[in-house]
Amino acid sequence: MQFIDLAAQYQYLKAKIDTRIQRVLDHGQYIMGPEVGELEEQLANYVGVKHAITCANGTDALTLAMMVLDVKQGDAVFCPTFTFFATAETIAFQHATPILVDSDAATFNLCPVDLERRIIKVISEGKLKPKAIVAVDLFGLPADYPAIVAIAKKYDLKIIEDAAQGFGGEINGQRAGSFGDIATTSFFPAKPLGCYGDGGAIFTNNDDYAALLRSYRVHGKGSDKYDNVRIGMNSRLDTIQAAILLEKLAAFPDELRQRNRAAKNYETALAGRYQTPVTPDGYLSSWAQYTLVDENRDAIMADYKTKGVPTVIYYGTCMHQQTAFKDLGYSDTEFPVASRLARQVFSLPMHGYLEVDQLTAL
Amino acid sequence: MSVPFIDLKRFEEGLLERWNEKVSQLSATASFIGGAEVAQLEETLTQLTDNKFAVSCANGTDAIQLALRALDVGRDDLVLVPNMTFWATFEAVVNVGATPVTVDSDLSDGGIDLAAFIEAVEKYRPKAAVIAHLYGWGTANLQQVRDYCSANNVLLVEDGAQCFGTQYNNESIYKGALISTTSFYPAKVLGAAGDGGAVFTSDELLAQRARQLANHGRTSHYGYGLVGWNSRLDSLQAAYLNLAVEFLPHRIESRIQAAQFYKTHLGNLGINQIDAPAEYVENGYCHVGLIDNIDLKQTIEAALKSNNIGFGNIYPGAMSEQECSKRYMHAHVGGNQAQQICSTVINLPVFPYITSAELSTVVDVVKSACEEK
Repeated sequence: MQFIDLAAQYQYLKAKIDTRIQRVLDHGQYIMGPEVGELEEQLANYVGVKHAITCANGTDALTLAMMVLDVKQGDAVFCPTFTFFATAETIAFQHATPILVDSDAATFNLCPVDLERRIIKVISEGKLKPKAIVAVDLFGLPADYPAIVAIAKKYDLKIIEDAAQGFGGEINGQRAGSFGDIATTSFFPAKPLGCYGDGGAIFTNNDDYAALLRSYRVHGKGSDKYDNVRIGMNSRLDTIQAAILLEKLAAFPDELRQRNRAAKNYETALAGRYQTPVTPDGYLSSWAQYTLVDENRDAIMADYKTKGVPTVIYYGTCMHQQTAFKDLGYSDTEFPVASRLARQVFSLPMHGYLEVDQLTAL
Repeated sequence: MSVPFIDLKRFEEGLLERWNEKVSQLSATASFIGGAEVAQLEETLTQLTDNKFAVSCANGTDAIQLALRALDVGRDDLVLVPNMTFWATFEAVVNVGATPVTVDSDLSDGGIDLAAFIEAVEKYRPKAAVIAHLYGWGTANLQQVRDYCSANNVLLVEDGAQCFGTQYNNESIYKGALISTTSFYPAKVLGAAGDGGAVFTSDELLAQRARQLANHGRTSHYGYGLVGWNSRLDSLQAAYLNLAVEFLPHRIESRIQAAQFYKTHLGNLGINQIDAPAEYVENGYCHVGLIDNIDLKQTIEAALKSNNIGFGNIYPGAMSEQECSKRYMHAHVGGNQAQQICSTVINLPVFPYITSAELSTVVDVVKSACEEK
């Protein structure tokens, strides 16, 4: 059994994907070819925003978003401590200071109560300028945007939605990638919508942000790439990856339904035995991960292993526990929920081609 | 007959079929990040560049940033950059938080002006310097620059995006560099079917740091010791490059022949055609002509355009002349040879397997434009 069965998906989509790749080889426009524009249009339509701008990977997407919001040294940017490293890394990469926030025990997402507490603290200390909140749609579940948006308004902060795992999720019909001022996603192969290498995208309704992003990703270009009007970077989605994503996006709604069916089956079989993930009313998860919580994690994982079921820990180390951030001076006691989650979470196999009957029988 | 500036669709026989097979294989096993193809490519690159280590990454710009950050170049550091290069060289320095000092270029070969370089080091004592090996060769003074930097504690990064396959004193130009970089942008001499790049060094610590930085500063499965970023070469691209590299000698030969054809047939027309310095065997990256007579340059460019012949101007503007560069640079050292190259340079079509009919067409159009003038 595979933790994420990308091979099954390829077998299913093989003919279409192979044809798409062949078409790119025929026209030879490997950089910013027509498939890139086509994909961006379809992504924007799917998410329900005005602009989708693709880039080289999900980390670059966050960096580009921070460049647009002019996040820099002296700025405080709030983000969850229980997340993938890139969320906090990109804040530090801009020479700003990540202010880490504890998690909600049921959804694993950013805790709005702790968020507001930390904003107030930064303001009262007066050393850093509160600039933005990076809200992560962890494991596929959109963060608590109704609460986070209200807090951002109150303190005049920008919101970056880190939808690296959230693409496909919804709150009351509104899709992930459309919350906040600017949103990012990743097309890393294991993501709900993944390509066959590295890739990413940024979503926004703001025309100025979109124009800036299109310049930043090609060396801060003006009229062409030799007219450099600002410092940018090189961050483009390869045409071949865009071609692959076009076919995978077409299959995505079906896969999303399959993932939700699988999650429901897991819930039925496992509720009561472990703490199962909570999906609040009106929310839809893209189930990037199906994550359980239990004090006896290691024993349970070992048991699954003997039965041939792969399980993985996302995440075993919080941001406040990382060597790279030890200078921030945090301790576990400040993040009781996240620190406990890091000790107790483990994720089960999840993908769009999962034969769940076989699993739940276990 | 129209002639493109570059045509990336002239594949060697069997290359595409073999790559398609690899794509199916990699897709069926979901081997998209790292893996055997990337490892094989990096091994080949160490051999071809005569370096102990090769670290692949997402693109040539990231490669320069990785090299600078591996050297711990960052905030409050001054870094020399050539005034004539692609913007990425300048940009990478700013992106690591350092401050560029531009140094003039040498009109004779497009490389760094040695006198200005030495003046800049003495005046500003920079932590590092980036030089760019443009056009498929390096500066005639490469060994002096390397020796001078090591004697004066200037960390030298060599941007070799355009010089893969170039020989300097009969060895790979990348050999003997403290740390160097390349780009696998499709139009490059060793080009991928998308973006890619690599860092070369024989210093184990630098290689380790570059590799770690390119993978989020990761130190263990869940541990991150450094703030890095994400910069990886896709396995699909590594697979393509592993095939392309087999044909590299043929491609280089074809490119050199094309450039040579222009040189043979376009003499005495008012176009100063630049040769690689004597110490080099070029890789045929491009043909370089400088046309001092602006009228003549415009006439030739108009004739090329009206005949649907592609051409380039590498590069149309010096770093110090870019709209925003003044805000970031500390100073400029030397004269304005870079600007002179930028305003006079023209590059005619050069790519592997360009036909003799295409080359003759270009020569005829340029010649008749010159005669008309």
